[in-house]
Amino acid sequence: MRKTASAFIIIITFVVLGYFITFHFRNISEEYSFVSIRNITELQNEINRKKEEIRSINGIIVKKRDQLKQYEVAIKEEGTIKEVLRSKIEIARIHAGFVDIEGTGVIIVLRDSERDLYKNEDPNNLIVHESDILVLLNELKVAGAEALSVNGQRVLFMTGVKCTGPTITINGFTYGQPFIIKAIGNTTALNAAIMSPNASVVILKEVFGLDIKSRISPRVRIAKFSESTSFKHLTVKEGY
Amino acid sequence: MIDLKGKIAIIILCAILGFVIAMQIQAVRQATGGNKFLNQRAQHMVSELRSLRNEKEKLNQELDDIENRLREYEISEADESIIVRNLKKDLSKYHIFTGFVPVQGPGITITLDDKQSEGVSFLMYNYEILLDLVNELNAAGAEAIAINDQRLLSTTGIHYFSNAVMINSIPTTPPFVITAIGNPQALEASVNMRFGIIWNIRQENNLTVITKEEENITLQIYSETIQFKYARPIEN
Repeated sequence: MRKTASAFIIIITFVVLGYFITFHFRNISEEYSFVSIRNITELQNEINRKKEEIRSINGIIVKKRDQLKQYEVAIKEEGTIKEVLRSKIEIARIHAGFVDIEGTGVIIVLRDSERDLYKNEDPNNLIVHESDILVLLNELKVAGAEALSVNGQRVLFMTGVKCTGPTITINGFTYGQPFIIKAIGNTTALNAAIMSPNASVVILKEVFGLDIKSRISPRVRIAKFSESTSFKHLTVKEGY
Repeated sequence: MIDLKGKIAIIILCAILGFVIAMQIQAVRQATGGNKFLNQRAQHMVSELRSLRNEKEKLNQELDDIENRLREYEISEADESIIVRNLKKDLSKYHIFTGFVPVQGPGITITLDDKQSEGVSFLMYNYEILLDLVNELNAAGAEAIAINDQRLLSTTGIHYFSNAVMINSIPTTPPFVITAIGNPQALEASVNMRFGIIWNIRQENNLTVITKEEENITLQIYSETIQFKYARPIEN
């Protein structure tokens, strides 16, 4: 009898103890939750994104305030916003690419390689591809190019560089090699983008032997976008 | 004798219990990285995020306010004069190119994501994939494109910098959502061509790519100002 009684007491004691311990652990784990480095990076990214969004909204607000002020001044002085609109159109036309422009910049000429193929080498290695031009244009944009053209065709945001067999089609016009790329901007920055050791141009030249020449010019001229533009699917959002 | 047996039993049980408790503590410590600071930092970040969200909310309201006032000016004048109305139309046409107006229309969205392993992203190092996709969409007649809400303009460069992909000099991270306005069928068909660009990306790089045709998508305005420092217009 005595044996079962003490065993019973021990069992109860341990049940109570077990209950307390699990209770305690549940509290602890809630407080800790699972925080891994991964979660922290995600949070940090989210914060950065939000900060960027805020910065961009601030930018828009500054722009709109400016516009509002212009309107207010114009209405006060002339009673109409016509002139403000006209001058804004003039500026927008230049920025949109509908005016010929000139400025300091670089001119790059790309030709296919003249060297012989190595044994079993893919002939594609020696040819200028549309992706080469694409990467080069991107590098120039990153270096702050204000305007770009490929064989005289102004590069706008919806300009696709299409591979059409041995030729490349830009803005609906087809060109064969050589491909002449012009960029207006800070010549030091643009030149660095072409000359730096990991620039695509350097790799194409040194590794694949493409014939690429570039020069800095104090007066690069880039023609306006000459195509007619009509948007079939796109509309400006109501109220703008 | 009975007494001694009971005591021994208790001792053994206590020993086992102690061992189990020690194991538990160890497990919890491992799960949390044994680091309280990480946890505190996370909480700190969550609260920061919350305050940023509130700030954004307020700024959006302010923006709505200003836009309403602007519209009042424009509408009141446009009602009276055809010239102002036409000027306004011209301006917004050019502003499509500079990204100063939000635009909408049918199109597609392409979502690109990679299975990150501890913050290392294949996509970020190989942002050329984005360039190729955008070029493909442009070639298929896309009329406006944005990546993660950044409007692509004629001057938009994409590059990798400090653990983010910079688009318009603004850092973004995967997943990348490319939104393009244009003929949805044409755009979808061109990127999803058999053995085409997306097939290639899926095959070679093990990325998740989801394309979706949309009836109506809106691209936000480009928030920076454009200023030409080097280029001058030549008018004749």
